[in-house]
Amino acid sequence: MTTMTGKAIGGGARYVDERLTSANFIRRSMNKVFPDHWSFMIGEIALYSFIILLLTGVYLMLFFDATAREVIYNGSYVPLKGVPMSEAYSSTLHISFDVRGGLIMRQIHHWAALLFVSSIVVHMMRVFFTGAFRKPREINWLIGVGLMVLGLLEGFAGYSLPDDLLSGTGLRIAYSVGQSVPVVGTWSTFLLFGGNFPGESIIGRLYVVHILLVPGILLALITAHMMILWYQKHTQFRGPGRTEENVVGSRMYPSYAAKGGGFFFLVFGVVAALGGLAQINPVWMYGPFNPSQVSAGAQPDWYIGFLEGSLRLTPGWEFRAFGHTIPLNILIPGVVLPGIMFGLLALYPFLEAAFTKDKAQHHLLDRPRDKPVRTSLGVMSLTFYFVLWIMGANDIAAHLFRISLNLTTYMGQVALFLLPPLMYAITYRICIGLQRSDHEVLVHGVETGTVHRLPSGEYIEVHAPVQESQLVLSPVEPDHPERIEGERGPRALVSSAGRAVGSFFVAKKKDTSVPADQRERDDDTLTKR
Amino acid sequence: MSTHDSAGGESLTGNTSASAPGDTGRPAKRTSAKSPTGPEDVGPRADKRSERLVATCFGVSSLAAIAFLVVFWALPKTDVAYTPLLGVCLAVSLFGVGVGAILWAKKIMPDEEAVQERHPMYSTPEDAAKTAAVFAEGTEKTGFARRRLLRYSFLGAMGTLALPIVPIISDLGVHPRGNARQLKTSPWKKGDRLTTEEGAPVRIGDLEYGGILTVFPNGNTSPSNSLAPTVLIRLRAGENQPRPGRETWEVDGHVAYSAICTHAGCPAKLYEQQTHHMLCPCHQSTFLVTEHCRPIFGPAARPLPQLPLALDNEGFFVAGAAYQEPLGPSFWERS
Repeated sequence: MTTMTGKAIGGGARYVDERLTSANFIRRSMNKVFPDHWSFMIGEIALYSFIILLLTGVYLMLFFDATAREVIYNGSYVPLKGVPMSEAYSSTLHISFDVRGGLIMRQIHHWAALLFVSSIVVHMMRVFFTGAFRKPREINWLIGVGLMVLGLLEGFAGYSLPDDLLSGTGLRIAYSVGQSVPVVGTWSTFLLFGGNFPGESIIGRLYVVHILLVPGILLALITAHMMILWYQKHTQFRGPGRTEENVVGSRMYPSYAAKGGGFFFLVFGVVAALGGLAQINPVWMYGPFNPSQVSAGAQPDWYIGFLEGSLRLTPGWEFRAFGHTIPLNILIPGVVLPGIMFGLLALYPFLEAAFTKDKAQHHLLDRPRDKPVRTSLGVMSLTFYFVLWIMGANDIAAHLFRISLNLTTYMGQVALFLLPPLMYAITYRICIGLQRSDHEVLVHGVETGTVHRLPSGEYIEVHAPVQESQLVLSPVEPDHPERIEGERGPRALVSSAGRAVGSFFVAKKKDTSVPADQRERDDDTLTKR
Repeated sequence: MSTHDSAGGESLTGNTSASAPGDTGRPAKRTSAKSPTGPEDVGPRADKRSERLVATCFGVSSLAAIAFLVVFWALPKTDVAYTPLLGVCLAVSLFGVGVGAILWAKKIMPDEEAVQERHPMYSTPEDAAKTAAVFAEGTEKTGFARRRLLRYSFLGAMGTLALPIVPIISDLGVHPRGNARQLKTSPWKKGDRLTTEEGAPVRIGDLEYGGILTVFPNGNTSPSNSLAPTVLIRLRAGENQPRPGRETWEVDGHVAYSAICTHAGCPAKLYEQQTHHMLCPCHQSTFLVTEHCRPIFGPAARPLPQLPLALDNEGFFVAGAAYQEPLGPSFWERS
């Protein structure tokens, strides 16, 4: 650092410090250690796509007019000229065709929204399968579940704003789902829509939900999520020198800041490329919403697909008694089932802690194979979700594979109950098998590829004992106390391929066990008051 | 972050610092000889090469950003390549910065791995007890526990403050009493003409056998009248098997049913002439037109409501009566 920049930074820092006393805090923050693992970047993708959504969303707000007032379209998209439509739909066309760069902003916004929800879901899977939700991180898990549900809501609200035929059909279904709730259903949907569907109010109200209410809550929850993460410090995988009491990785400044900042631009770059090159939600092809029209093969955005599937799979059950109707064919798949799914998801950390009687704090992550029950439960739940999701597109599947539409529904109904337990059993078996093979390597050593012929004529392969640096101590499983990484064989090939990809972002794994006497403590540690 | 800051200062656990191997000033570079990325990065020539590589990335980014401006202004926005080119330029300029920053971190910055101690995730029993005592003392000073009158009147005031919210919220929509009535009211009255989307009335002969037409009451195609869309279908003589009591609802093989699916309210209008199936594309509820549109597949539980047909004195189709049951999806107050 030259003296010039040093002076400039020093001057600026002094100015801030004399007003905020920030030097200690800033130094500690810059020294903060973040563990490196590719799977820890998935949550970052969610954060970065949220930033992209805010940037592009503010731009779109400047042009979008969320009113249901009917206008006659007179923009540059010729096929719809002279067609009566809502101002909302017309202004969406205006953004897409008459604002320079408007279409790419709209498409970046939509792609970023898909990436936002996707990365939240994958991040959540990472947290689940590695046990990162365990004490003391249950609160952040709950915030995360809240973020995911709000992300779905936010996506659905935004996707409904253009008031095109496709999204209007989605709103119509949402209205029916709201109506199906006993006692308060009719009343609450009338409140929300300001009357019978579609009414004049819903687009304007969804707009407020989409640009103010939900993003405000999302922003607050993301801030809380990050502050808790910062305060509790990140979890890490087992490895030499990594314990429950420390964090091993790179410092916030400069290494992590440069990599994380660079990663933001990579994510933004991918979304920008998608927004420019891959068409998404071409609302002008669907036409304005009209309750008497619908297009065949209509699909919602992917994250609503599981609800679409559950609505398609439920048989025509309806309960009528005492002058009231309870449409179970909507209530169960549209309200009860998602309620149970999200409820179980939110409660899982507490259920697992209760069943395993585990009250300890955990900062080291589990490998999924070491927790076969949790891993199998996760795969089972994902299978259930996946069947629903696929069935949200059963008409596409029927068309693609040239089978009867009705058959796909029956298959889905069977698969929904058959596949999850089957996947539980298979996953459990795979976990146990992987554990055994780990144990095998531990007891007999690593295959060296050197084959010897004994005087008796027998061939043997020489096994080298596992080096200490390859041992990963596991305090939770006394029967398999040690785990190995870096052995040869097909699995090692797979993992080295993963490392090659991951090594673009993170340094190669290496022995980080630092002898205790070499560890230097920062002055913070020494100044105990 | 402030929580971290205050906790670090208050709890005095003091082990929140980073400690890196080597001397305290500059963390030692931990490039071991066995690391494959290590050796190629050392040496002044390699160092220069890395620097040039990173700078190239940033340079490409700048060029792409300028190219973005050129495309933005020079190309007509109606050009097919306009949006794709904008996307490519923006993506390259963002990628340049991203790849450059990551290469900078990997190739130029020392490859250190730091170790930081965690602070325990709980307070000492003494601290917890002190906090509890401070809270108890404060509560005692308020007299909240002792003064019942204050306590109940305060809680009561907080409760009644919630009351004004109720009418404010409930006025967002129509009054609850009116809801069910609005949903139960038929959008078709007796004598309403069946008109096409363009507003033309329909007479016998307008539809071929097996034909289907979406009709609206007296030309009212307004989207706000969302339950009104009805389909008029012409069956061959004798194909229709009406429900008992509805024998007079058809006119010369023509039948009319609500187009709004009884499941989730999508228009169920995909009519298959050969099988007389009518399919809702949303959730694939299937109705059999020849048997009073009863559901034969999918999630719908009820038949599509039937509109009684008649002819007016000019020979146009009219509603012989209003719909006899609420249209569309089920709701609590339906029946």
